Amino acid sequence: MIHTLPTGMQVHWRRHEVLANNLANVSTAGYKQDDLVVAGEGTPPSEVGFQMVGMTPIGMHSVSQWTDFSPGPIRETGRAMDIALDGTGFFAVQTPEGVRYTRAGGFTMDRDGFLSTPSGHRVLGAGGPISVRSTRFEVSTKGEVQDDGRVVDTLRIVDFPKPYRLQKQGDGLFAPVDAAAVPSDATDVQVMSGSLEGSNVDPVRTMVSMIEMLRSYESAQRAIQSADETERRANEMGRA
Amino acid sequence: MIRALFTSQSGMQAQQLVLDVIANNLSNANTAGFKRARVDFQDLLYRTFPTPGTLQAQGITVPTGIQVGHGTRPVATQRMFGQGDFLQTENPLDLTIEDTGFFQVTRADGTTAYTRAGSFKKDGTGRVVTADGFLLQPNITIPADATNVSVGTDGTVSVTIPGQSAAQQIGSIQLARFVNPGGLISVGRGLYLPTQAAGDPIVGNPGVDGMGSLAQGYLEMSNVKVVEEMVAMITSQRAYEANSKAIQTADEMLGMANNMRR
Repeated sequence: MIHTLPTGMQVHWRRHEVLANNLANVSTAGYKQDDLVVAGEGTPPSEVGFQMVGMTPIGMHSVSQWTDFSPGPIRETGRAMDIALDGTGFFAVQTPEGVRYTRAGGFTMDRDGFLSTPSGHRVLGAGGPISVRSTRFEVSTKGEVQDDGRVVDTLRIVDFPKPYRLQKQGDGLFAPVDAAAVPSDATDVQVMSGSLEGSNVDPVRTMVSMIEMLRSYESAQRAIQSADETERRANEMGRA
Repeated sequence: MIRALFTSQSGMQAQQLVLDVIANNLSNANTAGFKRARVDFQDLLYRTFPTPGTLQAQGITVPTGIQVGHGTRPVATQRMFGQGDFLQTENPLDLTIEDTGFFQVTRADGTTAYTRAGSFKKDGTGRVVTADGFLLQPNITIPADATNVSVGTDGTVSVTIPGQSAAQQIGSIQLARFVNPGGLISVGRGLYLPTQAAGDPIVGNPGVDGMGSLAQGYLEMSNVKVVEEMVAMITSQRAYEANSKAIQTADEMLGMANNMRR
């Protein structure tokens, strides 16, 4: 019996790792908060934005992962290459592994003059990477990129069928789990240049989850201790 | 098990960096031509348990595997080149660039640096220099007997010499701009150096081809907004605290695990 118990502690450790990652990313633009739910112990998050993005068994427990795709707070920055999406959709960026998707719109320029993410992945427009030639860079609410007053391209903003089957890749990027998931042009979205979408981590929610997790972990630990106690007494019976 | 500790550690270090940058912004709230900076973060790699495939659960297909992240990392300190407020000084060599552009100055080692700080002075021989003595490019020398220096919005510098009725043009100030000013590196003293990321400097006359125009007798103040920095400081401090609580929680959990064996 005692061997089946430690997985109870393990699942809570996993959950703590996920919650700690949320807190570490409270200042990460475009970050989406995660949570783990242990079947039979917790209830799925009730907030609208949460969608189940994965599931795995850990010992006897079935653990599901939920990502909150609701928008983070949009803050005005006045910097033209800070681009926020008001509505559902993702920017498409080129990476060595293929096209990836992101909500993190704090873009910059790479050394060859292409609009890129801070880690150097080029942002895609309808006609591929977007080259910027002048200091007058502007983006209209429809995503038309104007360079020196001339429309040079339109940002490629896509959406996926819901619920999203997207997994995180780090660097603020998402990849569809199913390669067959075809992104379509986002329709319900406005592009806001000069604004940046912040992280959607809710510190209060995360703290409460952390307390809840800690108490579940504690009772899993107590269960092991009492199982140990029972076995110890059983062993002592013969000696009386 | 220790992953959670490292994750939270990355969160605390991130907020420490934010505070460093805010402190520098605030201490330069009154530095002419200073541009405030901001730190940009990205989430680190994710470890997937176990490798993804898909499975059917409750009638819907879900990917197998849960993802555990490793925290955050700073990817850039982004300099915000928004215009600072103008301060009227009536000093003829205080110049402000309205909109885009940088003054070009020659550093002691002969290389060119770029600055928005327009508080120029005259050195002993009448040359126009920055407060640190770096020469303005192209060089402009003001004659010793000149009584009045005027700088036009297009950068033309003219002086009035006693005994001459007409003002005399002695040179003209040119500005430089960059396709990506965010790629410039800051070297202190209000100076920036070009990098590959910033692109090559485009030199031109003020007021034409997208270059900002000049205003004489005004100084561009720092674009730091103290209230904004204060709010950022509070958020950052609380975020730091939240990450330290996550470390405390992890520590408590490790303690409980260790206490199982009595």
